[in-house]
Amino acid sequence: MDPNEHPERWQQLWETFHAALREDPVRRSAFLEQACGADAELRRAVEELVAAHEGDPDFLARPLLLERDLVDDRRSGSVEQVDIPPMLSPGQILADRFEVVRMLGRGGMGAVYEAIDRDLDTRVALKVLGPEIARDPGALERFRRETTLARRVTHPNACRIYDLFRHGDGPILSMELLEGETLAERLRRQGPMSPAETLPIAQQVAAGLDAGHRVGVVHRDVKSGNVMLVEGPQGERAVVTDFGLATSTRTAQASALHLTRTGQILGTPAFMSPEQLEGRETTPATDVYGLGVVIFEMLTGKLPFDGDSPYTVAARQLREETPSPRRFLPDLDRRWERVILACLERDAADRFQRTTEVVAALKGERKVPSARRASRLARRGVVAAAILLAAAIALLWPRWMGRSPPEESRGATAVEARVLIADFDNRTGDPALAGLLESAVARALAAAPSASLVPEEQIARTLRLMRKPPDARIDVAMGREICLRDGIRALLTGRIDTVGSSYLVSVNLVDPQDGSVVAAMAEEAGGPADLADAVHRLAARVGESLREEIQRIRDTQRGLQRASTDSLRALELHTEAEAAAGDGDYGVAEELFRLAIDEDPEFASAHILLMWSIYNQGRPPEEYLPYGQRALALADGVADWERFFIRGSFHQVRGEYERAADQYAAVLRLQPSYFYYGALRSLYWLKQRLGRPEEFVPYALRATTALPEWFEVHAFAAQSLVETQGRLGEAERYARRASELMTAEDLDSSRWEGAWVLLFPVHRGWVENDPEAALAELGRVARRLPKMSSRARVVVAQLVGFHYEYLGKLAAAEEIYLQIPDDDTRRYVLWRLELERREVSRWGEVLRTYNPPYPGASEVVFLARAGLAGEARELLASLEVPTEPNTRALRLWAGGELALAAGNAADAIPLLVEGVEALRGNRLAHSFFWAAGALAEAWRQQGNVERALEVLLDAARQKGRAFSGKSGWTEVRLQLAELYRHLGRDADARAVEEELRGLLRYADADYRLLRRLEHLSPRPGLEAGQ
Amino acid sequence: MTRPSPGDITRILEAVTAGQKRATDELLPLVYAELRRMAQARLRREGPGQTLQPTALVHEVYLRFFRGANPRWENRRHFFSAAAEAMRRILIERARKRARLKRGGELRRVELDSSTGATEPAPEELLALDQALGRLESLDARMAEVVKLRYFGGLTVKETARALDVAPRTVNQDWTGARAWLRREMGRSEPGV
Repeated sequence: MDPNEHPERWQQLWETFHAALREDPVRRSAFLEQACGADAELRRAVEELVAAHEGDPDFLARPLLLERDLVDDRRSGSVEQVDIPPMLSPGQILADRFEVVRMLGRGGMGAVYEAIDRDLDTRVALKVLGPEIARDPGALERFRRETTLARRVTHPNACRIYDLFRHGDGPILSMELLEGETLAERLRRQGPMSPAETLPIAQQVAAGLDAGHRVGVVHRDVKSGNVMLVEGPQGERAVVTDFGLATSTRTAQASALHLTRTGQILGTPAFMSPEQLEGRETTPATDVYGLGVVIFEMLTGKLPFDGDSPYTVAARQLREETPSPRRFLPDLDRRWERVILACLERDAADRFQRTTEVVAALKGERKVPSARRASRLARRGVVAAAILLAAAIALLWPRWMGRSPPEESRGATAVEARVLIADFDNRTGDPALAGLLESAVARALAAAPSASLVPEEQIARTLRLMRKPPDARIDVAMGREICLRDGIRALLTGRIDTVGSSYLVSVNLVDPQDGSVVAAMAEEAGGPADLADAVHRLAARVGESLREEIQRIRDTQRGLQRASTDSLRALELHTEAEAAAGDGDYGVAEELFRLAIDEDPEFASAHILLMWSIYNQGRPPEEYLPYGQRALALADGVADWERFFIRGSFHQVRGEYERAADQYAAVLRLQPSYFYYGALRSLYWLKQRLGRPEEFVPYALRATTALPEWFEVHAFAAQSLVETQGRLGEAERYARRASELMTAEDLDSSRWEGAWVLLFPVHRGWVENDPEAALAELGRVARRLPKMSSRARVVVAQLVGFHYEYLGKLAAAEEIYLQIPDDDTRRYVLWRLELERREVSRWGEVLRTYNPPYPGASEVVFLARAGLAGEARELLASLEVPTEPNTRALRLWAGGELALAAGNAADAIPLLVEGVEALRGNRLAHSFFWAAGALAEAWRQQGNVERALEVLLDAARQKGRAFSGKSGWTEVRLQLAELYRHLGRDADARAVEEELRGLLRYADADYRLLRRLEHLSPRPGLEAGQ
Repeated sequence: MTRPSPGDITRILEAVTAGQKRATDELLPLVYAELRRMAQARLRREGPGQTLQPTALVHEVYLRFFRGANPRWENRRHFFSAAAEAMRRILIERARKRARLKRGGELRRVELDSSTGATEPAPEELLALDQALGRLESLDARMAEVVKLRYFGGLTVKETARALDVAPRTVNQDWTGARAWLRREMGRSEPGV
């Protein structure tokens, strides 16, 4: 097809090609059929081009890089002489001591020579380092410090470092002379090795590294190029070279952002651990990572994450699942595979902590750290709302949000913050600078993990909407408008000025919503030649501050509202689906959402709710995440509230709670909408999980004016006021309003909110030490139970039963529980009631009878207190994701209880101190009270009665917010009375006992807390007479 | 070789009115020399074993050339075309040399630092690409120009669009199409195919 002869054919070819690419791949063939008709030549050409395009999408995708040998090729006369580290010539004498024999090679750290140490009459290696180290006093000092440390490493598998001295411009290091080839060269020459060949080398490398770790030196640049294979009398010896040297150059110190500042590659990205690429602290586990890569490479000849820049490698580490070596070597032993993958864990804490452990594990002498993702709980599937009730109230949204997320597969990328770069204000009078700085900053940012640039095409699209030409200058005002329209969270503005003969480039990070400057930074360039460097430096800083500040920049709202579907049928199906999901029929909902999507494949909302339906059935991420992703992709075209909800949902199922909360908060800042209430519930749940429930209160209060007719939002407001702050008076106003608004249908559809509203007067009676009023209210609610729908009854009966328990009326509670129409829930609460009926010392017999379907930290504590430490520990280890703040708090508590039960009060105290703080304000009030009680007990055992009193008094003050777990409060109070008695402060004790006696005056005679109280002062009358 | 001064550039650019091809040709030697010189200086500063992005270099040369001047967009375009072409020549020249050395086996580079991850294609592949690019140029000059600016010059889509005075969308299409075309073309020229 020669366009010179047939220009119209050439054009036709490309038009068809681009049109074909726009088609869905499955329809492409049909499209070509129609577009090309009988023109077989055209069709073949397009098909070939499409195949070429898809076969290798990365072809030419990266610009070529210039490598050093572009200018280092001395043989070519056309190239100017370049000066590299000082050259030493054979026969030259250095420091009156070393006679140069020959050059051995040249590498990243400088050139290496063989020399004779005349003083000791031995052959040594001299490493001549680049002059850049000598020129930077800081670098030289670091280098000196590191070599001093590295000199302490004496091990046959670590290259000895002798002395550091100076010659001419640069420092020179004398080292053990090693003759042989590097492991990298061996692998290049011979290809991959068998496990049998690999093991001895890995073992020696591990031993060499461990020798360094034992004297406090982390290698930081473990790679096959830094392992020498030396022939010796006892066979081949593997020696780790360049120990600790990596630190002294900027290589390991700088973060990835700095590394690319000048577009260069320092270090060896493919071998770098995530913490190095992120510029974080390095530990021996960093070398474990490097060792893992080396073993991987020895076996497969491949690297797990390859790439030419730290960014590429970092991006792959983040985005891609760590590839199993078995992908390249299917026969590899499973144990080896597990060991290697454990070395390559992203989080250093999940790896082996010592290199020698790696080899022990390869040999099967040591266990492999278990991969974190297979938590027992996660596999068990859906955690139904009923459980979280363990003495508390699950206020989760049972439809969508009722399930704690399974541990997601690591390494997925998060949606990044988008940044728009405005055209910089050029005040230098030099038009040449226009555009260059922006693109330099853009290029540096494009690689930053925290930010993504708004695509050109999107800007052009928005400009079109604004009726501006596509090349319109984007000044600050226009930049803000684009951001507001497109929901972009950050605007980067800048200016460049001349100051004398130098330039000043300054950049502001602007919140588009109000134009406020979130961060400002500037760099100076001595002259035009330094400008590029200055811009790179600046871009690196912008990348860093973006990462930090982006959270503070609020989400924006967009004025444009577009219907999320234009198909009425799809909308109807969507509504039916949602109703099914509301009833907990997620399977039905899934089907209906799928039908809705068939009607309108672009229906974003149906996609995200389909994701939730699948998620709620406890199916794995690979089944539901694609729909979330699809929804995200469609979210550009939908209304703001929908988009924020979609993003929030997506983050939530991925366990990215902070981001999810931001997105839901954005929904709540908009006008009330379809997803408003869903976002409110999710935000409530997330703030709980994040351990900052108090942050939810303002949203709840605002919601009451946004949706004044909804009883649920009033209930929420009351609830959050009570739970986080115990603000009873204020809460009462909202609770009363909620109760006025609530209908029987409301109670059926919003059961948890409804139940809470019904029980609020009971709570008030209890807080005000008025058990009569509380019981009267309870009776009223209990009498309504038979009239409620069975779904509502499940929930309300639990709460009524709990409150009978709190007042010590266990028999009444049992009667209520028996009315619960759901088998699992009934069994569970009755089991819990059995515990309440016994002294703690006899809990064991109950705990052994029944395995709660969804155990949590409370169960760990039951076991610990019952003296079943082994079971408790096992359960604790299997609990879900420890990084979630709420789970973390519960684990701290459970861990503290375990220590205390084992008699280690000293170990328990720090855990419990932190646990109590983390649980303060948590919805599960019983956990707070129990943890406080345990902490007080630990202090008492340590003889610190003052602290014990302090803890108990503080906990007792939290009475108002104890909607759930009231018996925990009673127990803390009892503990206080006991302590007063113990201290001989009988008057104080009596006051507390009086109060408790009042509260429990209708309790069953054998209620354990009442018996404890009577044990304390069996006959109050007698005592008074003393 | 004497260093070009901004004055030279301006003079050449102003003098050339006969179209892009000629302006590019006239500029080429100057840009070429300057690029080489700066590449050396920069790489020297970075130390051994390093790489450099052509973009950074091209922009630096650009700043140097146009300092104090007020280039019209045509001049910018000429410059970038020349720079991308110069870059292509530098890289191709080196690939030729490498391919020769590889065959001769004369040079064995001793590497202590076995850098991993090939950043660029093998010399043979680069030469094949260049040949294919030559064929594309004879069919569609703009598509070939886009490849030079993007691949050899390291320009972004936006910069390329500015340099060619076309819409970014057009650049994108040309870029996608050209890559597919080159890929197919190179596949064909492989022996035995």
